[in-house]
Amino acid sequence: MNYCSKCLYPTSHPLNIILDKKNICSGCIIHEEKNTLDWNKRFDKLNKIIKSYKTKKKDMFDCIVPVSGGRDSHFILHIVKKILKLNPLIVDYNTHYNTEAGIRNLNYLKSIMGTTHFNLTTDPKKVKKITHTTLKKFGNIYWHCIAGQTVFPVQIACKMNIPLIIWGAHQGIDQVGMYSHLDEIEMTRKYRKEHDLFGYEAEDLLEITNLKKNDLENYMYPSDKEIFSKGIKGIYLNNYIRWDSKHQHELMISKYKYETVKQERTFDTYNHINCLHYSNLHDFFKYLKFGYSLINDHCSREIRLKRITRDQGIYLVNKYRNKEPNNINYFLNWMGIKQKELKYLFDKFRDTSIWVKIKNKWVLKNDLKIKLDSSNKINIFKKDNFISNSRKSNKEFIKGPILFGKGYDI
Amino acid sequence: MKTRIIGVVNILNGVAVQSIQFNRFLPIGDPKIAIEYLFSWGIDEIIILDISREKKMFKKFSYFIKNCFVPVTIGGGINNMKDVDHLIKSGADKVAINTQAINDPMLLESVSKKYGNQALIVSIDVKKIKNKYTVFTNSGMVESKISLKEIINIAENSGAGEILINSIDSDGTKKGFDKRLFIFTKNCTNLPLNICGGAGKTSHFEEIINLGPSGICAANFFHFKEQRVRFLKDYLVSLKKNIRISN
Amino acid sequence: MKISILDSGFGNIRGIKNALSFINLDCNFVKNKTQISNSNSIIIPGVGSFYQTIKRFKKKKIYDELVKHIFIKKKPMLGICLGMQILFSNGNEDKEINGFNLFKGNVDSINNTCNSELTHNVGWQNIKIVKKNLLFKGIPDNESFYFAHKYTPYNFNKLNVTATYRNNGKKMIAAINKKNAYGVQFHPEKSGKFGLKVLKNFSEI
Repeated sequence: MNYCSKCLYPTSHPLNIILDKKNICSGCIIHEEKNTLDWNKRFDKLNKIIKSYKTKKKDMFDCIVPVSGGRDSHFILHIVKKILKLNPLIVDYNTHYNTEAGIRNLNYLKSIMGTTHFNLTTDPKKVKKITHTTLKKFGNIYWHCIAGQTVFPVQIACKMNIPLIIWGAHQGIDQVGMYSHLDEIEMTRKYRKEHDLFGYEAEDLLEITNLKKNDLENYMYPSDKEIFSKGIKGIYLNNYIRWDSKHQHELMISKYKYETVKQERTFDTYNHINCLHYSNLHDFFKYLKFGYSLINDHCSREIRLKRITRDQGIYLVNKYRNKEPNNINYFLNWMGIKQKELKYLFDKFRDTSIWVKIKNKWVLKNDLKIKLDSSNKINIFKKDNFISNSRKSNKEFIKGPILFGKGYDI
Repeated sequence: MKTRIIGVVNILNGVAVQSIQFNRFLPIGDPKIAIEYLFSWGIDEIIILDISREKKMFKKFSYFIKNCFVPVTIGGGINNMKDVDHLIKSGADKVAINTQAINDPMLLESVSKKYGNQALIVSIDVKKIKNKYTVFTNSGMVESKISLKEIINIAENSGAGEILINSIDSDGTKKGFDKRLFIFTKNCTNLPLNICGGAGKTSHFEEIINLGPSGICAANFFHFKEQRVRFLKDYLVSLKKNIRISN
Repeated sequence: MKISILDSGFGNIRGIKNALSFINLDCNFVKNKTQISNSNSIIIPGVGSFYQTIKRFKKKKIYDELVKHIFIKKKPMLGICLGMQILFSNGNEDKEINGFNLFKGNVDSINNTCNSELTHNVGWQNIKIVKKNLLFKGIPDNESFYFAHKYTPYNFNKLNVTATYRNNGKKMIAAINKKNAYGVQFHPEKSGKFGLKVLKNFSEI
C-alpha cells in the first residue's frame, strides 16, 4: 500500500489510483484540468447538449434529477432550474437512515424549487433483510442505498420516457481520475455494477445469497434493450462545471439556507449530513477494508483545491479517522443485531494485508507520516471555516433514523 | 468479409486502463468486467494487451475471458513459444506479437507453423519522427532501426495472418484514426490490416471504414457512453456499411 | 441432463465449458471409452488436422465408442468445426484418411475445392438457414457466426445441409444434420449471443 505524493489517497483505493513516475496519482493529474480547461467553453457545451432535450410543452419534464437531503442536490437543482432553465422531475431513494436535517433539507428543496417529486421507499422489512445479507457477506451496509439511488432514476426515465438524467459529480473522475473531464463520460450500467455495487447487481445477489426476487425487485436495472431504444442518457455536471463541493454548498447555504451538521469522523459539515451512517459506521467499514476513510477523501479534495497543505491533511486524517463512529446503537437497534455480532464483522472484514496488530493495537502496515510540529496543529481549521447553519428552533433534535418526515410548504 | 469492430483492453498491472499516447494511464477497473461488457454490447472481437512493463499477467487471462464468447487475441510481452502455448491453452484464439517480431522473427514462424497463420497477429507501434513513420518496441519505449516496410515484410514471410497497426501519436487523443498511416501500410501489404488509435467520435469510424481495414480497433472509446458498441454499429449500418449486426 | 465435451487433447474445450456454464448448463469432460459410453450427449470440438484427429481417436481407443454413440445408441452429438468435418467420408488434410462416414462427402482445402484465392475462412459470415431444424430454433435467418477454418467438405449430399454461407459466390456448408448427429462449421462458443443460443438448443435435443 502506497500513497500519492500530492493527495492522501492510497493505492488500496477500490477504484484504483495509478501513480506516475513522481508518484502523483491519476486523480491529482485529472484534477489539474480544473485549472487548465476553459470552463466557459465547457458550460457552453452543456448548453448545447441539453438543448435537444428541452421539451416545447410547458407541462412536460425535460429531465430527471436524482436528489437527496445532503450532497450536491441543491446545487444541481439550482443549475438545472435556474441557470439551464429546464423543467426537472426530481426523484429520491429513501435510504432509511435519514437524519432530521436531511429530511428538512430535501423537503425545503422541493418547496423552494417548486418541483414534482417521486420517492422510492422500499418496505423496511425488505431493506433490513437485504442489508443484513450485504453486511454479513461484504461488510457493507450501504448496498441498498447505492443500488436504489442509481437505479430508481433510470427506472423512472424508462417508465415516463424522460431520457435525460442529470447527475452531479462522477466519483471515478472526482477521486481517482478514471476519465478526463473531456471524455464527457456518461452513466453506464457497467460502472454501476463494477464500482458503485463492487461487482454485485441485484441479479448477482440472487445467485449468491438467499435473497429472493421479491426482495430485490426494486433494484433491478431496466433491460439493455429498453435503455438503448429509449435513448436513456445520464450526464455529469462536473464535466462541464468546475466542481468545488465546499464553495457550492456555501452558495446553497446563502441562497437556500441549506442545513449543516457537525460530523464525528470529518471536519466537513456539508456532505452526507442527511445520513446517520455514511460518515460513521459505513466509513468505519471502509477504513477496515481499504485503510483510508472519508477524511482522506475530504482532505484530498481540499489539498487539490489548494486550501490546505498535504502535511495539514495528514494531521487531520490522523485526528479524525480513529474517532468512534456515531449512531452505532441506532443501527444495531434497526438491524436487530447485537454489538458482539458487529465486532465479529469488524474483525472479519479488516484487511490483514494492510493492517497489522502491534502491541495489541491495529496499525496500518504503511501509514502516512505526520510532520507538522505542535505549533501548527492549533487552528488549522478555524471554527468558521465550515459554515454552520440550522433551521432548527430550540426544540430537541430527533436523534435516530427517520423514515418519513414532515413536509414544509412555503 | 465484414469489417470487424474490435475492442481493445489495455491492462496495466492487472487493471484495465485508458492509454494516452502510451504515456499516461487512467484506471478503468477490472479487465474481466470490461471484457464481459464489451461482449454483451455486441463487439466482434477483443484484443487484450498487457502493457505492464515489469509483470506479465498471463496467469489471469483465462479468468478475464471466462464470460467472453467472441474471438480473443492476447498480446503483451510474449517472449517465446512457451508463452504462446500457455496463452492458446488459456483460451486465446490468436496471439499478438510486437517486440519479439523484430527481436526474434523465428518465433513468428514457429507460431504460424504450429497454430496456423490465422492464430498470429503481428502488432506494430508507430510514431511519426521528423515526418517519417518510425517503429517502436517495448511499449513505445525503444525506437527500432527496422523500418515499417521491413517489419511488414517479416510479418508476411513468417506466415502472420493479420497485422495490427497502432498509432502512438493518435492513442487516446480522440482526434480520429491516422488515415495516412493506414493508407501507407495498406500499400505495403495484402495481409488483413487492423488499425488502432484515436477513436473519439462515431464519425471517425465512418471515415476509416471507407479505406478498407479488416478490423477497426478502439480501447477508451467504448467506455465513455452506455452501450456505445451498439450505437456505433447502428450508426454504421444506417450508412449501409458492411459490419456484423444482430437483429 | 449433462452435456459431455470430448477431451482428446485438441480443441478449445475450456471455451465450450465456459459457454455452457454461462447459460447454466451442466457439463463434464470425457476422455476414455467408459466415460463416453456413460454420456448422454457429446460435443466434439476440433482443432488440428483431420488425419491427426482420427489417428488420435484410434490410438486412444475411443473411435469405436464414438461410432457406437452416433450410429448405434443414436444419442445426440454436436461436431464443431473439425468435429463436423470428421463425420464425412474422408479427409485430405496432411494425409488421406477415412472419417466416420455419417455424411457422404470429402474434406479438402478451401483453396482446392473453391478455386478461390481465399485459403482461410476466418471471420464473421452470415449464414442462411436452408432447412428448419432444432439447432437454429429462435435464431433469425441471416445472422453472423464466427468461422476459422482452412478445410471444407465438398461432393456432399445437399439433403442433410441445414445452413450455408457463401464463399466467392459458392454455397458452403455452415451446418449439417442427420437425425441425432449435428455438425456446425462455425464456432458457437465464439459466435456471440446466437452462438450461445445454438448450444442452448443442442442441450434441449
